[in-house]
Amino acid sequence: MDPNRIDAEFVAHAALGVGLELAPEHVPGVVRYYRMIAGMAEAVNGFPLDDTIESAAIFTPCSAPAPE
Amino acid sequence: MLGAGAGVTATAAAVRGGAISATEVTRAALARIASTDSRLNCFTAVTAERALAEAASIDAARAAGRDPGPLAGIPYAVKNLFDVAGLPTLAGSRINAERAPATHDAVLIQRLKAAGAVLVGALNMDEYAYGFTTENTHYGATRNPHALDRIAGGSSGGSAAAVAAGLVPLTLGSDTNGSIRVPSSLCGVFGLKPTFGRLPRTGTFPFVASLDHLGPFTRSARDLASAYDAMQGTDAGDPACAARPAEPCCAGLDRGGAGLRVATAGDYFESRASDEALEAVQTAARALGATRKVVLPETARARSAAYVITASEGANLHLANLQRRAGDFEPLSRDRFLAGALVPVSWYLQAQRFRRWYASRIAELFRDVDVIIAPSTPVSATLIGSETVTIAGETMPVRPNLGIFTQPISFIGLPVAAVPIHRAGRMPIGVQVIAAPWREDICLRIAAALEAAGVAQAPIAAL
Repeated sequence: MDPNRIDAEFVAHAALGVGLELAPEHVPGVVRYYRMIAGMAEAVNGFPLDDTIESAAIFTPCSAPAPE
Repeated sequence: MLGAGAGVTATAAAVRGGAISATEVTRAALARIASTDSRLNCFTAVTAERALAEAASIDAARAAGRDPGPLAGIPYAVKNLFDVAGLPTLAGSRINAERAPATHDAVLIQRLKAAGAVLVGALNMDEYAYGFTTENTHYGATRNPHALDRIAGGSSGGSAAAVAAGLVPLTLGSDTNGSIRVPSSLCGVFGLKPTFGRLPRTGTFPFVASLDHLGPFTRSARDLASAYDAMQGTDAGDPACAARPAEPCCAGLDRGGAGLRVATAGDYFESRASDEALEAVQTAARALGATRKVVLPETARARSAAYVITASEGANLHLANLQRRAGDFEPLSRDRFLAGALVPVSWYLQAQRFRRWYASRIAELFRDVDVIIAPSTPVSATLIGSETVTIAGETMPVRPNLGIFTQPISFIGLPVAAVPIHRAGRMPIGVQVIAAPWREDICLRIAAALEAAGVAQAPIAAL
């Protein structure tokens, strides 16, 4: 998304989606940093990746530890 | 009598040989901390009683003819995100000060204790490790021992400054995006960020589980290798810790750079660096006879992806407190945490997919080179309170940009020795010695070679 479309109203709505009520004094900083993150994400999202490339987050199944 | 300048290797040899007792070494370290730390603000807790008990135990072991361990009597301290039995694990925060004291030591502390080292305290950091300056509003800024009006770097600023000031010869820190390598550079000490998954993080307060590493700070490459070797080995308590055997590095440390193909990092790592950072890389390259340059593809995107993952995982970890008590967070990072909580999952997952692509591309580079030298920081230490820095003609915010050279490397978990390049009469600055995964031995060999060549040094700051 275009980082310039991010404003106080945008972040307030997005915050409600994760249960955050932003204090008015925090809003300018959140707008500033969310624009920064969005710019970073835009660079990543704009890079074509082959469908076969999986996430680098790997899950390893685990067993209960042996009783002591 | 050993002076404050004695490092890990010399001190352990003296204690093991009976030239000095662990108790004497510990008392001297506690005295240095008492007389000096008020000017630096490295320590948030001093564990004097515990330290003297541990030292007495080492002395008793030696007196009884038992091996007191390879790190016998070495006083050390840890970033305050390590669990220390009896202390709340602050992680630089006011919120965590309300937590119950830890009941066990972190695994790496247990391992250093088993090796004979003596814990003397816990060290200051950026709140929840989200910063590169250790300007902590709750506990005060840690000052750079080489210039008290300048930052120590972060987030392991207390760890780097305590070593640079000679308060202790060994500290531990963590590195998610550069938090060992940035303060190593700015304080002029050696640091090691091992391969992701090498050292267990069990018993430490996390920041970004996908990217968190732990490692040591010292004033020489051999001291770094000694501490690292004592801490190796897997642990089931850390799901990211690799099930690999220990691969000790000390024995091969003096092999130098012979036979190793060394290159410097071009493009991204040159265009964003100040002259002093480029000079440091060139000094190291000359000493190693390196003339080759390699380009790490898409590095700016790699840094961006690391930024997105950091923002998202960091905010997720703290979401409950952000919902209930955002006002209690560090003002310098609170809004970044809040913004991170809003990241859509598709951005996060794309960054994790890009991480795999980038790791495979950089792995290809290591077919042709063994070592890549890159700057650790774009500039040397800035003034405490600075908001911006000008690099290559561009003015940018200090706090997010001190890690521009470290972030893309930890993003794919490569091992790095942070090496201080000596510049007489000027503020320290360091380089990253980067190798392929699991080749910490190569990083440490090159660090030792640079030290032997006289270009890497970590003198104690004149306070």
